[in-house]
Amino acid sequence: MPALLEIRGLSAGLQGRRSVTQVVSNVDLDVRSGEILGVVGESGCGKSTLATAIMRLLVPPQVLQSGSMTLRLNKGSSYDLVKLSESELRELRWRHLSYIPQGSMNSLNPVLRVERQMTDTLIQHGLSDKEARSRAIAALELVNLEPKILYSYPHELSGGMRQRVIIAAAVSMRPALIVADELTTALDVVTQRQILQELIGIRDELGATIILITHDMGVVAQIADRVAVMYAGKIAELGTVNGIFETPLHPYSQGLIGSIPRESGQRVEGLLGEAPSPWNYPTGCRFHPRCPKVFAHCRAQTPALQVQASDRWAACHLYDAEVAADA
Amino acid sequence: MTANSSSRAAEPSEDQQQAGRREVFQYALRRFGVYLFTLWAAITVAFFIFRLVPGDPMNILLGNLTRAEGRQRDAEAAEAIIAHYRQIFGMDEPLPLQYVNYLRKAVLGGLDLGPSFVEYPAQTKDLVFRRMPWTIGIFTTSVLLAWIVGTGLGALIGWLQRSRLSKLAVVISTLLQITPVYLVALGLIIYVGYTWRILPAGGPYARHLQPEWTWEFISSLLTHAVLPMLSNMIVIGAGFTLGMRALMISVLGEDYLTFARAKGLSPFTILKDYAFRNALIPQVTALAIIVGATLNGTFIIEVLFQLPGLGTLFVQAMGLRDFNTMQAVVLFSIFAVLTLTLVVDLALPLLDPRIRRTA
Amino acid sequence: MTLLKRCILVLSLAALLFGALGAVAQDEELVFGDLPRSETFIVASQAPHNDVWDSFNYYQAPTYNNATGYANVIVEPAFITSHDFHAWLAQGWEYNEDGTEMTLTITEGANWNDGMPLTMDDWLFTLQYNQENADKGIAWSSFLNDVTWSAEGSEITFSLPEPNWRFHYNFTGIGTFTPVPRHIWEGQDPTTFKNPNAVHSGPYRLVSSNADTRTTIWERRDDYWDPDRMPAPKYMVWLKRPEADVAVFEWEEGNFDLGRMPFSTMIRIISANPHVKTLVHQDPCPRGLIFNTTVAPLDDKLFRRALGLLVNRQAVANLANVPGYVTPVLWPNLGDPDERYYDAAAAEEFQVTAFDPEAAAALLDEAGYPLVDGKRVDKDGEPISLDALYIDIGNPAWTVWAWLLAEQAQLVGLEVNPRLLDIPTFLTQLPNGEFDIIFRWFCGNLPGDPIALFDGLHSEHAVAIGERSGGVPGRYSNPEMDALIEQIRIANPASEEAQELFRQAYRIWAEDVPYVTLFGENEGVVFNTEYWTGLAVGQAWVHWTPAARQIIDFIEPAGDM
Repeated sequence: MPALLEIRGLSAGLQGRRSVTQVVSNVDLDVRSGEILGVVGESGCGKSTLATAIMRLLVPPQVLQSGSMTLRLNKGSSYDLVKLSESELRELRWRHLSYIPQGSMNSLNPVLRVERQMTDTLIQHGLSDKEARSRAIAALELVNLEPKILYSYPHELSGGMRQRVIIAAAVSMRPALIVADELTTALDVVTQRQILQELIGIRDELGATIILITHDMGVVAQIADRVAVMYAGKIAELGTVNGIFETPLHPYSQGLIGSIPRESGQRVEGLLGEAPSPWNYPTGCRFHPRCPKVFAHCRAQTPALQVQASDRWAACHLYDAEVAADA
Repeated sequence: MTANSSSRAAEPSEDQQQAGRREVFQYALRRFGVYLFTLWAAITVAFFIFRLVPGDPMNILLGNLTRAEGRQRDAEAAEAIIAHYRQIFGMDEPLPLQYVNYLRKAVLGGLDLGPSFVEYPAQTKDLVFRRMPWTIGIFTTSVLLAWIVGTGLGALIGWLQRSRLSKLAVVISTLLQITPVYLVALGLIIYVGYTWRILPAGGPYARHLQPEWTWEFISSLLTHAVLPMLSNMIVIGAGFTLGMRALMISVLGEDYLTFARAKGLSPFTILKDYAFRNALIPQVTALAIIVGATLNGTFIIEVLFQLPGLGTLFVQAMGLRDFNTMQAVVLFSIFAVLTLTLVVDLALPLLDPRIRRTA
Repeated sequence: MTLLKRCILVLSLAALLFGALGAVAQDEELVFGDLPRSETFIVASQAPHNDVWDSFNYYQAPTYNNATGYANVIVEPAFITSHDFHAWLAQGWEYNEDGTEMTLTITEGANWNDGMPLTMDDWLFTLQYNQENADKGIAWSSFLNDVTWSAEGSEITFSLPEPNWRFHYNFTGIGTFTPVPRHIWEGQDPTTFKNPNAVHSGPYRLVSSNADTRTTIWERRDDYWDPDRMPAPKYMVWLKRPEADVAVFEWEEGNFDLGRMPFSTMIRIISANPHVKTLVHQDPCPRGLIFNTTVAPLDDKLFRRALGLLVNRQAVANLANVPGYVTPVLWPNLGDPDERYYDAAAAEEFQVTAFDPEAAAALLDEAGYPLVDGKRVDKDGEPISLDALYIDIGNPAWTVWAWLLAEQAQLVGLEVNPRLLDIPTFLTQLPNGEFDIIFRWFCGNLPGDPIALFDGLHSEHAVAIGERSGGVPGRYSNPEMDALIEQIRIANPASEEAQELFRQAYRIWAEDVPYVTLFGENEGVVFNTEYWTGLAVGQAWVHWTPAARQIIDFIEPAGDM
């Protein structure tokens, strides 16, 4: 079965005065229909840029440099998101492609009622006022909110409720793909758990595919089917949640998983150093300055993302037989 | 459980509503108190400040008479004149008593603000009422027009912030904004009024007309109003444009705007419902602030364009140290500004639901 | 050709002809609606700040001299004084032997501009009206205190409480007693009545007066009582001119006929519009400086004389930017000194108008103001510092004297600080005596009677600082001078006796220096000769209320243009 979204060679960066600083470099990623794909990484690793790039919501000075993003829908139609014009994108957005933005607490317009903010896009996508309202109410039910919420202003709602409204809005047109960026960051743990449960419910009910961008390995462990570990604008490792959590291949993944606090009270072995900023990504493997298993080749050669096992990709010279042998 | 909490937030209970109404009433009362206090403080400050300025109206009166006649009056006649007018203007009493009398007459005497020197023997109140329509007509209309045009233009410039035309507009607006009103008005008078002779550049209407409901009079009135209003609009409008542009740009960076784009809304809907409307709220507040700050510019415009408004009146009154008239102009100006501020304050909750609750 | 076509042709020819005729008729330029420009005289008035357009009450002090021109074109005095006395509403006056009675002969046959005759009845009514309302601060009443009168034929005989050879001054000159129509004023309150139809005896009638546009339109009346003095302009428009910056353009376009403008703009207007001329007229009030004689060391006449010697009148005149507009005054009255009234020996002895810094320095040394470390110190050994107060009305001569004086004073070690005052402040500080040295004009010099030069020096005017002084406000006090002034007041100015008193007073003035003269000044008015001519250099200033009535008669149409 072909991937719902097939990202190939995607690069995005920041337009400077003379040159472009690459934030996301040459990313290849397949998103499978119906899965929840977690994209994890430290702050500044480019995962939000990736999410925004998928949504084609980059605003200057952010620029999409190259690559393709093929979205294949049920009816056999497929689009390269990179090539679409603004108006074509507008058609696609919300109907097939939804977005739950980072900082979604502030993503509702404070001066409009919830109803208007949920229905305006539905109406614009061709629904009648009445249909739009019933869709909105149905969507609210999915996230356990009462229809009354429609008549509230955002400031009258709690943070969790606002987050749910955003989720409801995002799923109100039953899109094929939902990109959720740092969905639960600002919420308390209880609300976080409820919302994640609701998200799974939505996936099951609507059959939607969800890309969940987060820095929280715990969240990924709870709900994701597969994980893409991002480091310095590249995919370091990709695989099923179980696979990666049990046997992380990439030293970075190992570090990330090692830094999750365990019940046993065992000392956490964290990652040393800080993630590089896009202005000074290291040469060769971008992880090499922090890598405990670094060897000479890592500094010169950039490792490619390669299949390491069934359903498992990693970009590390350790698993590159020839190179590793040289070392 | 979450649903319950949400319903409570959306629909306040009876008690809460009552408490809310009480709160609103208290707020209105407090607001009105502040309003009255500001009026009183302004007139009190004006009363004493004007009397601190060197220059005694009686001596000025006599000095002007002397200059007009080209001779000194004999001292006896001069004293008789001064004594009479001192009494008419209530200036034969000690200052604190004058102040008390002034307030008493103003409040209890049906806004009796005393006689004027500028248009003796007209009552100051009548004078101000007769002059006020000119100031309101020219000033308020031009500020409102400037606000509407400036807000629209600023929103557009902010929305298209990266276009070349928009950058040019910013430069032009900045230049206009820092130009003194006086220069703009004089430039319009010289070029539009005299060099190109497109529009009349002085007076409220043609000199041979009397106010009446004829097309001739009304058209004369309107053509005469264009340049003074334009002078005001250019400078104030440029300020509003820049202000709105800045507000717009800051709104454009908000999360809800990205979300609106992600929702696939058309650019027009985003501009209208998400960007413009939100930027408008501080811009309305700016209107109230600007009104007070630009009143003096209007006074200059009135003098230059020979309009019989409050500004011209104030300049004349200042030259005669006509305290009654000066105080009346201050009183009515403050009144107008405060009223407008109040109106804006009351209008804000209509635009911004957040204020409705906190108020 | 059909009949129809011919008809059309004839009709269109006729239309063309009428159109051409109409164009010729329309050739006359109209101003202010329907007034033909060539029959309209437009005065761009620059009256002070009062702005009364609906009251034509000669008694209201605040409305006097406003921009409607009513006091200029319809108010007529008994006599107009310009170089000479001109009989107007009265024919002449006569005193009895001891100056206790004056008989005024009124002009018969005059009428009001509403058509009613101006009779003895109006004169008597006005005299009584003014006397009865003396406590209402009306302008022309105090001279009637304790005066009684009786009328016979066209003569009014005034009985005066004491000898007064100057009683006729109340009927001559500018701003004096003039009758008002009884049928208008009877029963009216002089302080609030507005005289809405502007009824007076002048040759014009009020057409309209508009406070919004600040324009008053007057129309000549054909029933004016003196056909020999019928003015030429059919219409007079008096309007308040805009700010000078804007008014320049109106002048350049020839929209005004007569008015005042700041000197700097006059030059520009003249070069832009060849029809515009400036008419200069010597202002009868010489400018001078008053010393506050209550302030040390200005209380010392030697010090004052030394200051007088530091005033360089010629330099002030030379520095004024329009040459010829300012002439130094070498005697406290304008023109050639009249030998009968002044003491040439005293002028010589006290160097009345000399500029001599060396003599000033010597005088200061002699009087006990020595130089200490380059600074003159007073009797207590403190350095002397004086303020010289001036106002700025656009004429450089009004300001430059203070800086020249400061410069000269510095050379002899005196500190004089020039300080600019705004006019309202000036008009207050001047009579209140709040100054060291202050600029002022000295008015009221009548032909053959220089009493105004001395009358204000009587010690009765030396009131406390901060109170209004009705005289020369320097608080000068000298019993000798007081005695002389009191004698001069009751003397017949034409008599030998009075002239001797004047000479003595002059000597005291020259020695005591309560004030010094600076310069005589030519006032300029701007006159547009495109439509009207006849006004000439040297005529009295048209803005001078009833004196303007005479000037109006000089105006002639510019002829076929």
